[in-house]
Amino acid sequence: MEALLQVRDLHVQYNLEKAGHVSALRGVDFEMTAGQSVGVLGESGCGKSTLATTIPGLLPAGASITRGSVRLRERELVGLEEMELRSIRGAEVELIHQEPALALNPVLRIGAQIADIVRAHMPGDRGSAIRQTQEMLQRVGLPGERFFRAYPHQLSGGQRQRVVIAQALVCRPQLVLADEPTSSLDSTTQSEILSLLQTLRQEMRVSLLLISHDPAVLATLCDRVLVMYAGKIVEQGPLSEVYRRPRHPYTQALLSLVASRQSGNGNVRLPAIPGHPPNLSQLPSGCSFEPRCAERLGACAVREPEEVEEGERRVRCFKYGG
Amino acid sequence: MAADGAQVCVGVEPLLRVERLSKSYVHRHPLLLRQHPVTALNGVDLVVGHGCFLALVGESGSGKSTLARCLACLERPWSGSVWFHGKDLVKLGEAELRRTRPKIQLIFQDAATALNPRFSALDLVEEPLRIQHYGSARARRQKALEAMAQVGLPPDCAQRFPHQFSGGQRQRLAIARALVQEPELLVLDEALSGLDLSLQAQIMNILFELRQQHALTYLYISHDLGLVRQVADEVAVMDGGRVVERASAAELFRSPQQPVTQALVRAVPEIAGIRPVAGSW
Repeated sequence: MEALLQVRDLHVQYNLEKAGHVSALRGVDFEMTAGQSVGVLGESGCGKSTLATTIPGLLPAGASITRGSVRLRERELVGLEEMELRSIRGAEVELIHQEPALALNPVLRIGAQIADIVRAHMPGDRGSAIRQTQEMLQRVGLPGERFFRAYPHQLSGGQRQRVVIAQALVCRPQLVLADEPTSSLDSTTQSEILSLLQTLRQEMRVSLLLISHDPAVLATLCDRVLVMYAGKIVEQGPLSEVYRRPRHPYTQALLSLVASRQSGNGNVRLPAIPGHPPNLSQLPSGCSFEPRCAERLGACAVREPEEVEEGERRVRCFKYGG
Repeated sequence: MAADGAQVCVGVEPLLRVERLSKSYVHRHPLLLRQHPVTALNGVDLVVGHGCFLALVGESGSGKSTLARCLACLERPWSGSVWFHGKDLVKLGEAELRRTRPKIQLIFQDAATALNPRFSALDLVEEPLRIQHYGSARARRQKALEAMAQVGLPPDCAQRFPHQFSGGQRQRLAIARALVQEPELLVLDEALSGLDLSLQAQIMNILFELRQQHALTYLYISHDLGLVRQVADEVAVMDGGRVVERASAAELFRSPQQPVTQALVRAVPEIAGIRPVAGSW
């Protein structure tokens, strides 16, 4: 299979006035092939949203890529001019945000917003843009004139997220990055949106990079999983294998939380990972998970483990050689 | 158990009894003069047992948050009663309400908007005590620091401001601010929804400890049935402004009766074939 996206040794730094340099990504390395669905799993502050904004070149002011490369079908995206990035965003890579209300223009009708994107990226006249918009709205389950002419505030949260998905897919991009697309929704709406994403992904043959803090959300949609901690991928591999036999102590701990939740033993002390993720402006010298790790070894506090590869799986931990 | 809102927490005195509570909001069209009422609560019956961990679940718009606001006396219901210590909160005057409010504390989902950004952590936790003219300045400060310690906030963060805390720490701060008023009932409205799984577990463990130390009762409002199944004694399900089903957490998941409950239970994402890793965690 041809590589669709190759991310190599990616480093991103935020330069903040008070906190100084914050290393949000510290050597992220992965690839995905066309048609694949890859999940990014991690707690808040691990760099997963930074990864999602770096790929389409949407880092905020004050943040910069200090090293590494992002290639989309052999084309290097790091260092591209804003004009070139603009033609790629929307047409080839799309980002779906967590909060659909903020991703939509409140004073434009839904149909007009989506048709604008079609006209910017696709050939054809206004009539064809409108036809494509109507067709896309139908596919996400918002058929008819009523939704086409609606304003964002007239829709529920789930419907707004459907609009954002329609917006992302209408130009048939190769890659869609979805950053916690369902966290602001209630659980029944969440499962509807996830199954919609799954259907559209297969029908339209889009690759999906899905970001979530909830292992269960990724399990419904993804073939592969990347587990991030403090700006690094600490474990990656086929999702079913990683979930069944997690190797990194952090992955093991995260999945144990989910397993205990599913067994529902009721009203006893819950397993929790002690402590909190490290401050990214003052990282420890050794493995960044070491202070919270139940299986730490002597080497862990001294230096960072290297990535160990075994078949399709990779893990960064001294337990496996590191 | 069916829709009668009867008690399942057996042998427990009721702390709070809600009877036929109704509340509508008037929706005014911004330009036209048309007004039409939106019914948020449509005759809610609910008994909260003393010391129980009762979860209230339902889809968005089912009336959960309106009920929470009515119980915390932040909102006046249109009809019905809320019995608490022999008094109907719906009929209380403003002075009596002010004495009752500390006993029923509401914790919101987004602590960032619930905490005054210009107050330091210590000021925030002390503020309710100042308003209630509790003790001396020194005693207030002492009590506030104790509450902070109970939720796992060390004294050295007393002078920090809300924006300098992480999401989980801000929620702890909100809990400390409620705790300092010695509440009997904590109403948590999606209080852990925005947090990571591990933080949810950490804070839930603190809530368990506080319950033992202070004989607290919890009404935990959420749409996350995964966590509810793990922590609640009982679950009440709301739909269309009423409580439509109530059962013990185990029973509710084993045989959900109402269609809305079945949909909620089905929507809990599950991962097949994972199990806790033996020993280490």
